[in-house]
Amino acid sequence: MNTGLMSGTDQPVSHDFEFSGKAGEFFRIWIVNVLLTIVTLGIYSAWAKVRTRQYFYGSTRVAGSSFSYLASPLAILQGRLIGIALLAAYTLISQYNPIAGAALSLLAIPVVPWIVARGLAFNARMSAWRNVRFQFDGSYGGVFVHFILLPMLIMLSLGFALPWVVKKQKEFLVSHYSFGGKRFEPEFTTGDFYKIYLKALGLMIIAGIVAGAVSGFLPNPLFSAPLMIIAYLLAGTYVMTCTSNLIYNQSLLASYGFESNLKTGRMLFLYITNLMAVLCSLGLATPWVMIRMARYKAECLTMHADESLSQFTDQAQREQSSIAEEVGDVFDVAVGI
Amino acid sequence: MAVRGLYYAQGSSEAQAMIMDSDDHGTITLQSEQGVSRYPAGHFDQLQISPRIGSSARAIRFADGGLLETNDNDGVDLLLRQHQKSRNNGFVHRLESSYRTVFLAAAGCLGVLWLLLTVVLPYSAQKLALNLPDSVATSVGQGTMEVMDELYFQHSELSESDQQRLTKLFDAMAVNADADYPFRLLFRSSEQIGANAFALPDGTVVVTDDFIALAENDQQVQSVLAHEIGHVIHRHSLRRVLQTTGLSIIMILVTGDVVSTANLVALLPGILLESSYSRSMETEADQYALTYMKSNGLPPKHFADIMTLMMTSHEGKAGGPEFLSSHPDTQERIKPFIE
Repeated sequence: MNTGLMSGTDQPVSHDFEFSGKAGEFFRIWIVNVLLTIVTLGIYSAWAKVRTRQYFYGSTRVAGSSFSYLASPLAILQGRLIGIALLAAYTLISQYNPIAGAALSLLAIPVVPWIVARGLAFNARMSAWRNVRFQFDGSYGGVFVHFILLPMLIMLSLGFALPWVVKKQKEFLVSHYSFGGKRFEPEFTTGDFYKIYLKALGLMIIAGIVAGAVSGFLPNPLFSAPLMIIAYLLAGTYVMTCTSNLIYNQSLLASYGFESNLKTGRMLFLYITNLMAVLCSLGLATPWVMIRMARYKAECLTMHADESLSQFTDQAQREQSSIAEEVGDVFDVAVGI
Repeated sequence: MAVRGLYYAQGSSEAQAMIMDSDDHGTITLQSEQGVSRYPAGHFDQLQISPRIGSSARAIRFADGGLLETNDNDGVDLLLRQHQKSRNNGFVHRLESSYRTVFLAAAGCLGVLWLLLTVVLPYSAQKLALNLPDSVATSVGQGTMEVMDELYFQHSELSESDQQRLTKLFDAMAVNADADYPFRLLFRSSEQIGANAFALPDGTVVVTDDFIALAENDQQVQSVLAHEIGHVIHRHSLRRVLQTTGLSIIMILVTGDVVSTANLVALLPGILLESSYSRSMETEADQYALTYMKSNGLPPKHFADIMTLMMTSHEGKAGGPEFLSSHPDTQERIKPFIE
């Protein structure tokens, strides 16, 4: 626990991330959250969210210190109510009149980047480690370019631009995060991303050939279809895992580096067993699923830094409301690293 | 009562192992682990102490912006009890700690969810749909018809005389139905839809040319028209819109934490529920048709016949088990009409 806090040497030290959350304990927190949310007709959901986040943040530690989540439930409730009202209005309108609904979602496009930018900023500001908050300062324009305009290129280029677009997005996100006055610096290259996507594509092609060969012997799609589904899942998990590793491994925070070594096979196994568990338990396995995912991700993450980690200082930050974030939450436009 | 933890001065990431102590009056002091100096850190009432959440780390914030992070949850709770006499703190944590509460909560949650989805939502959607003003039904119906015409329908190729004869039959039935809807019958043809009939909330009933061709006699057409009038009178399409909206809101509230982890799982019960809602509405419309036919001297057998014909004509297009289907099993449906 006490990692030589006073020594102050500049020797590089590996700080492993640890996650100490327990499924049994979190199940009790989760089920009480659900119950109180139902009893209060959904009002408690804001408190539930804060409690859940605080549990996960508070159970994750690196270099002896845990993270904290600082958002106030009232701010979240406010945003959530607005989000629900908007969603209800949208659902009703598009059911009554699909054309008006489509027009509305077109109108929403320029609003979304604002929601995303504010949401990311709010979330970062509400996350802290060692009494120092994170910060995200991506602008509306930046989000609009990276998450509305660039994705259009993917279609125009018949998919060839996809790895480049993803790289630009991740680069935008990483470089606008900062911690204690120090910026995160992305160092990954476009080539890194093309490598990942090409390997995934290769995997799909091989699976396609095998499926084709199999269906030559067994024309029943019952045999080739599952093969393609598994290959698709594997390729998807591969891309996600490698992207996540790449971003951590190739980003710096004030000369400190990170190391993430998630394994594709293990991730796929986790996804599939998680899905089964949640399905078979009518959702009651959800807390267990969340805990084991968080534990695995933390297990695979290391920070290379000096011993004391004392060079970060908090910057005074403007308080902003969480309305944008919660609206974003409801519409599921969350973008993460 | 002393609490050990890591202390961070305001805005600094430098960690210092500290012991926080308080006297009987609530005066707080901080002392470094090495125990050299002890300095005052304000009064207990000025502290902001984060709630206890399982065994996760606890944050104690001082008035000057300093922070003490500790895993000594019991120590902090003891401190709270000492200085905050009658405050009801840690209520949620006490709920979480009792296995009995947790078990009851789990059972209660599943029960409430079940009740909400199978009783409360359908019932309130029905009440609301029946109480919405007619103008809503009219505008919804007209909007839908315009879109359908745009997307699916061509003009009917049915002869003028056939159309007039069926319209006359329908008008007579509509008068009988004794409701305030401007009932009207429309003829359309559509390759995608095939042999079918459906009703819109404003009282518009649409039949396709394929359907008229499929029917062996006018009584069969009438029996289906009676079924569609049943949909209109019970305001089924409005109910459906309301139920779908309610369902999506409930799903978001209930699965708020889950959706990101298991999108698919959250979708599945929605599909199952929607098709079960839809089946119960079909049954209700069948009921209306049966009553109408019996009281107007139409042999119910005609409905059974046309349903069987429709099933045969749609064979190969639709499939899947009954619990996924929007309509009840045809054999089951026509039973009351044969008896």
